[in-house]
Amino acid sequence: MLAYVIRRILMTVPIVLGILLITFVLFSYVAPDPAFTVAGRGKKPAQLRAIRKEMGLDKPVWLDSRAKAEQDGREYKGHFNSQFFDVVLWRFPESIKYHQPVGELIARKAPVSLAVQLPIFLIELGLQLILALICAFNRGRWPDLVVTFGAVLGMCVPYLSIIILGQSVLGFGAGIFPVAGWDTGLKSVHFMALPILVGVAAGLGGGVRFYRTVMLDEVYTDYVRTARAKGVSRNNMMLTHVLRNVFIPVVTQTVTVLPYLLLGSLLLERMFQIPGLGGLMVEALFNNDRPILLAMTYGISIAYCVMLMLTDIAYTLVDPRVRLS
Amino acid sequence: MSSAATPAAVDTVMGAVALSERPRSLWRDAMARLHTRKLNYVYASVLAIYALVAIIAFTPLLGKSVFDAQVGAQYAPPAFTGTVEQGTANEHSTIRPSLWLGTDIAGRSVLYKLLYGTRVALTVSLLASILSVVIGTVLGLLAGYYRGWVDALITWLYTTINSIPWILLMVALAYALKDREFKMFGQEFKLVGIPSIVMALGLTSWVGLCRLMRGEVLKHRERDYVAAAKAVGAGTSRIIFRHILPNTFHLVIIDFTLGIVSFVQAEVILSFLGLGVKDQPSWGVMIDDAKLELMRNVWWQFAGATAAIFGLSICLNFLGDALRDALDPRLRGVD
Amino acid sequence: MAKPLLELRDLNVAFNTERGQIRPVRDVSYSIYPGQTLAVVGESGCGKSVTALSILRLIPSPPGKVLSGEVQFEGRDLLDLSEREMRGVRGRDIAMIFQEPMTSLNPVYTIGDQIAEAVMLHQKVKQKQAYEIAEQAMRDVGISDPGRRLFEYPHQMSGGMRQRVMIAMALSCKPKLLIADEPTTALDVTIQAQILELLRKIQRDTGMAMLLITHDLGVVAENADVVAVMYASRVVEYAPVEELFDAPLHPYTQGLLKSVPRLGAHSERLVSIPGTVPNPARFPGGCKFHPRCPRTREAAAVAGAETVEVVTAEERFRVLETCAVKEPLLREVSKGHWAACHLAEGFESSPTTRPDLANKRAVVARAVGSMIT
Repeated sequence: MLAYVIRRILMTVPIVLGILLITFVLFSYVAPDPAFTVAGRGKKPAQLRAIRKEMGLDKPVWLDSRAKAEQDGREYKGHFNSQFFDVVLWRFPESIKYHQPVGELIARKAPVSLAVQLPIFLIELGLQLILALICAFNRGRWPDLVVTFGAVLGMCVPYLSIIILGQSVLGFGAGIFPVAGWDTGLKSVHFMALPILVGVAAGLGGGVRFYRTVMLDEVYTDYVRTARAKGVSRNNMMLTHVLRNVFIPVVTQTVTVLPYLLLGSLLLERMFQIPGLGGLMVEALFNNDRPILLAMTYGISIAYCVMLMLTDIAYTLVDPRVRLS
Repeated sequence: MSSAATPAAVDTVMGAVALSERPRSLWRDAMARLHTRKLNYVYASVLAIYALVAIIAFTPLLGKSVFDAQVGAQYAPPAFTGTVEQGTANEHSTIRPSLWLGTDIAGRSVLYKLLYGTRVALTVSLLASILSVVIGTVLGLLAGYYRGWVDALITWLYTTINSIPWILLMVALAYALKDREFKMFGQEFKLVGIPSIVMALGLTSWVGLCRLMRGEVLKHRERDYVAAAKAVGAGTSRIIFRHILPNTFHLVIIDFTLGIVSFVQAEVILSFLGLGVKDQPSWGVMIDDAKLELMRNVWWQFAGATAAIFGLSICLNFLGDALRDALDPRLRGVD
Repeated sequence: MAKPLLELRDLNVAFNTERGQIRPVRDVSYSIYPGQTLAVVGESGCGKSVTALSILRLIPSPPGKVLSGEVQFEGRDLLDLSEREMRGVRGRDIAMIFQEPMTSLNPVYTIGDQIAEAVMLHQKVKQKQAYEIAEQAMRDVGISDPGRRLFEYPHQMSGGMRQRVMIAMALSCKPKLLIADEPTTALDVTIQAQILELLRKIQRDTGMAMLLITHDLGVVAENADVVAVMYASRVVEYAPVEELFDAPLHPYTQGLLKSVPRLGAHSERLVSIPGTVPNPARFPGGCKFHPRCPRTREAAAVAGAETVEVVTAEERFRVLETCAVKEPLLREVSKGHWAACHLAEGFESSPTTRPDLANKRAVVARAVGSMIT
C-alpha cells in the first residue's frame, strides 16, 4: 500500500514537469509579447526593451553565464529556471491589469467560483445518477428512451445558447431572477440561483448517458446473474451489487470535472458577471494579461494532477482488486 | 407466435434450397446494421445538405460580398412572421430570400450569414477533426507497436496533456496562436482566424483516440495474424498500416464523427472569448453577437445559429452512436 | 410412479435483435426426477443455456422473452409466479452455477459476504450464523482453511477454487435442484475431474437432482442418467445414457459420438461433423440438420428418391425433399428413446410424445473409452 502511494507520487513528477514545459513554451514563445500590452500603442523599441527587462522577459532561456549576468546587473538564472522555481513556489509576476500579485487575485476569486460551481456539481451529479438509474432499471422501455433522447438533445444545444436563453427568458423576460450581478456574503444567493439552474441544465446530458452506459455494462455481468440466481431482488441488486461496482467509474468521471469547479465556467461567470476565476480568465484573455493566464493554466493543471493522484490512491481503498495489483 | 415471422425462412427457388451463409466482413456487416435503421438515412441526408451548403458557400454564388451587403433595415424580422417593414417588399410583393430570416444590426441577411457560417463551421470542425485523428492514430499506433521508450514518451506526452483541463489548454493555445506571424521556408505566415482555431482544437484533442488506439494495438500485435504477416516477411510499416490499422479503424471513424460535434460547439466558446474567426460570419460569432439582442426581442439571429448547430450536432451524435453500435465488435454476434 | 421434480413442457423463447427475432429455444421439453441427473448436450449456441436460464427466469429481458410453454416445478408453473415468489425459488429450491468462475463472483465483496448473502436471503438467521453456515458450506466443498478464506476476495483465488465457492454458495441453502451450466468448461482438466467428483459426492449425500449442461460427452458419460441432445434450438434426441451411447438414433448424435477420440479404437480417423452450426438468425428450413446430415445425402443417392439441391458457400449436393422441407418433431421411436429424424427406423409410425424418463443409471462410473463397440 505504502509502496503504491510512493510509486504513484513519483509518477506524478514527470507529469508536473511536462505541464511546466508546455505552459512555458506556450506562453514564452507562442503567445503574443505582453510588453505591447503594458506599453500600449505607439511605444518606441527602446521603451519596449525596458519593459521587457523589467518583466524579466529578456533573460536567456536556460542558464546565463554568471559573469555576463553580473555585468548586466541581473540574476544569472535563465528564463526557464527562474520561472520553474518561481512557479513551483507559486510566485508569479504581478497582473498587468490589476497591478496585484496573481496569487492574491486567485485566492480572492476562487471561493466565488466554488460557491457557484459546487452546487452545480452536486445537483448535477445527483440528478445524473438518479436519471441513469431510472434508465438502467427500465432499459429499452419508455422512461429510458425519453431520458436518453432528452440527454442527447440537451447535449446538442450550445452552452452559450442555454445561458443566453436562461438569462433572457427567466431573468429578463419573466423577471424571476436578476439578469446578472453579484453581492457579498449571503445576499449573493439571490444572484446565484439562475447561474446554478443554467449550469445544471447545460451539463446534465453527457453525464446521464455516461452513467447509463456504465450501469448497463454492470447489469449484464456474470456476477449480477449469479446474484439474481441466488434470489437477490432487482432493487437490491442495483443498490448493492451494481452501485458498488459503478462507484469507480463514477469517481473517475467526477475527478475530471473537479478542476472546473475552481475555474468556474468561463462563459457562465462572464455572462452573469460573477467575480470568479472564470471571469478573471476571460478578462485576462481580452487584456492580454499573461501572468494571470500563466498562473491559472499552470495552477489549475497542477491542482488537477494532484487530484488525479489522490483519487488513484483512493481507489485502493474502494476496490480490492487494485489493492494488490 | 408463428414461425413465419422469423428470418429463419429460407428461399426455396425452383427446388433449389439456397443457403447463402456468406461470411460478411466487418464493414459490410456494419453497413448492413446501419441500413436496418432507416432513421440513419435521415441523419445522413441532413448532413449531406449541410455539406452541400458549405460547398456552395465556397463559390462566388454565396461569397463574402453577399453576406456583407446590407439588404434591409436594421433588425428586420423574418419574413414568415408577417411583420414586413416598409420598403423591404419589392414591387411584385414577393419577399427576397435574403430577408426570409430577417436582418442583423447592420441590416445584413441572417440567412446568408447562416449559410456562410456553415462553411466556416464545417471547415473548422473537419480540419480540426482530421488533425486530431491523424495525430492520435499515428501516435497511438507507434506507442502500441513499438512499446519501450517510444511508448514511454508518447504516454508521458498524453498523460501530461490530459492533466491540463482541455478547455484551459485549448483556450490558452488559441490565445497563443491568435494573429501570430511565423517565418517558415523563408516566407511569412500569419495565422488568422480559421488556421489558428483548427490548430488550437486539433492539437489538444487527440489524447482520447491515442490512448484507445494504443490499447487496441497492444492487443492486436500479439494476435496470430500479425505473427503470420511477419512470417511472410512483411515490414513494420506494412504490418502497422496494412494489418493493424484496418482492424482498429472503427475507433478512428467514431472519434472523427464525434470530434466534429465537440469542435462545432467549441467554436462558439472561442468566438465568445474573442478567439474565433474574424471578418466573416460564423455560428459562434452570431450567437455571441446575439447575447443582448434577445432582450430586445430580436431572436432570429440567435435562434437561427442555435438551430443550425443543434441540427448538425444531433445528426452527428445519432449517426456517431449508430456507427459505434454497428462497428463495436463487443456488440456483435448473438448467442 | 414417482412425479418429476421439474418438468419443461414445450418451452419457446425468443430474442428480439435488430436483425429480427431469433428463437434460441423451440418446443423444448424435458423432465428431471429427484436425485436424477439430466445432461443437456449440444454445441455452443444450440440453446441449452438459454433453456436453463429461462427455468429460473433469468434470460436478459429485453431482448429475451418466453413465448409459450410451462416450467412445472413441484406442482407450480414457475412462469406464472410473481417476481417475489420467484425470488424465493431462486437459490433456495433451484440453485445455479455458471461456466465462468472468474467473472461470476462480485469482485468488490468477500467470499464470505457473497455466500452469507445467499444464506440470509432464504433462511431466517443472523449475520453471524450466516457466516458460520457459509464456513461450513465451504468446508463441505473441500475448501481448506475456510475460516480465513471467508474474508478473501474472488480475485485472490484460483479458477477451481472459485468454482468451489460457487458450488458452496449454491448448496448453502440445500436446493432440490442444481443447474450446472458448463461447470467445468473453463477449468483445467485435473480440476474438472475434482469438481465433477465433488458434484457426484454431493448428489450421493443429499439426493439433490441436477441439470447438467455441457458440450463434453466425456462428462455426460460419467455423470448423466438421462441425456437430451439439443441442436439448433430443439431437442433432437432423448434417451437414457447407456442407450444413447450404445444406439444413437439421430445422425447428429452419431456425429458427436464419432468426434470423441477413443482409446483402443485403431486406425479410425477422428471424424467431426462437416459444416458449421447454423446462425440462429438464419436457420435453414426443414430439418435444421439437413445441410450437414450424411444420412439424408446417402438416402438421396438412392434412385427414385425425391430430392432437392442444396447450395452452400462451399459445395452443392442433393438431399431428400422431406428433410429440406418438413421439420421432424421429437417422437418415441423405441421404448424410452426419443429422436427427431425422418430417416430413423420406424420414425413415421412412432407416437409424438413428450419425453419423460425416470431412469437412474445402473453403473455409476463408466469410462469414455468403452462407449461404443
